[in-house]
Amino acid sequence: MRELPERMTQLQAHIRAGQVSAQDALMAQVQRGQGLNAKFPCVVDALPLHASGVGPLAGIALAHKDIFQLDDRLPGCGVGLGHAQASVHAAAAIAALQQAGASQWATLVMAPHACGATSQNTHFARCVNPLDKDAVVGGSSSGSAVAVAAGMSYAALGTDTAGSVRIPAATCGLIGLKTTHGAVSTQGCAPLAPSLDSVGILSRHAQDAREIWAALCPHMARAAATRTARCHLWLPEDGVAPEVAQAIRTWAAQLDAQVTPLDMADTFDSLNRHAQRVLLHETARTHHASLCDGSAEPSVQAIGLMGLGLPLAWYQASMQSRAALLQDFVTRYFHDAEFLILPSLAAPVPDWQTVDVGHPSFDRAALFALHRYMGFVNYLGLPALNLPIARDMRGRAVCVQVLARPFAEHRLLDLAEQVPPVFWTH
Amino acid sequence: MPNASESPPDFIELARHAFASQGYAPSDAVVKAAAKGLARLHMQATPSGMQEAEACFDEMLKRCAHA
Repeated sequence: MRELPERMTQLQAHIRAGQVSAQDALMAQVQRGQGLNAKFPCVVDALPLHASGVGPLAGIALAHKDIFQLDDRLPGCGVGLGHAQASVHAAAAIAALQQAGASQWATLVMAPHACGATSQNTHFARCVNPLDKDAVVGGSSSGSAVAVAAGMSYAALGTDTAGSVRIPAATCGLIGLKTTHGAVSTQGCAPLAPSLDSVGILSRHAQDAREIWAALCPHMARAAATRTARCHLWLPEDGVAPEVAQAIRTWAAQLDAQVTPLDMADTFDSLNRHAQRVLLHETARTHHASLCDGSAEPSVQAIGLMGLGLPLAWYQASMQSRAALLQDFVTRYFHDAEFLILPSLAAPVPDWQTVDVGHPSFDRAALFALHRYMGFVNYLGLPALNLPIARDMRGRAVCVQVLARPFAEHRLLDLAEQVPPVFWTH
Repeated sequence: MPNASESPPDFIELARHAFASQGYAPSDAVVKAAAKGLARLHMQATPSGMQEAEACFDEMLKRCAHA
């Protein structure tokens, strides 16, 4: 075929209409992806392309974070290539996409063992942000963001334990959907902190993310689309850069919805501490052996050693409080609203050197600004959407994070579809 | 865990004890860094009414979907 359309849903329509064969569509996507990988290196392994299956995603060739088991293949998890392993089955999420007819042509780089809010990784070439070569690519699903933003894959799966889908999506101007905890099985996905780990989707367009979500959770019914309901907006006074806050205020004022400001600073601080405790303890548990024998990656050590020094009782207390705190949060902060809007990043997207640990320009505050508003969402298990809303003075993405009640992913995507695209044309 | 009426715990000692229970022998620098982290993560004890079995969380997610 001559040229691939901008959206995956458009290609699906072409295939359904018989304007292009599924096989030709697959070959065109793989050729484009392989060609762009020279400019935006993010592929770990190119995979043999299997014949397209039957289903809504037949003819769609995707690439995903190298954290998922594939049939007869174990993932490299950001520290090396994947390797063959007989009798290994594809992760549940990968299998669900296969069931819907999708193919996978590549695995994508990630922060080592999913530890890191940026793409920093000494095992692979530095990720380049397709929107701006000087801007950071967030992590840990960094390759997923690069591949989608560069046009190498219409969508990509990632995982999100403390922002690892939303942060790279925010730095690359993409839709990033962190799903409700447990809505998509993490079976066959290398764990980091299982109580927080969620499978997520990165895409350019909300419509494409919805197709992937529908394949991952076909039992999750989509209610009839309605106009945007009430929203609550939290813009912490001293916790977000003025430029970002102003862009969000401007966007919210134009939203076809009633937007009411609220303050949740006290609850946020407490929830963040609970989230940190769980992240630290469970990361230490996952990587206990390599932490104790000194072979753990530096980024794993940064989290895991803290976890080894955390009293077990603190972790247990945070886990035991989780259900009640979720109920309290939903009651207090959603109340009569459907969506809770807050910043994705606390500051404009930084230059990559600024958040590269060990670089002379490294700024710890800039790194913190990437993940400040992420972890508590994983503790609560809520679905969250990164949504690009504007460009900053340098042309980089400004994004909001939209939270919804559990299992309201379709409604988040409804909202995203109402927002005009900032970076990608239709 | 301490409550509001108690003085802050000795975070160095807490960290040392946690490391030991994990079978890890840290350097002094690691202990100090962990203690600093514990000071940031320290909270008053959760009221007993807020505590539920961990197994309830998945159920609470379903309940909150319609709250």
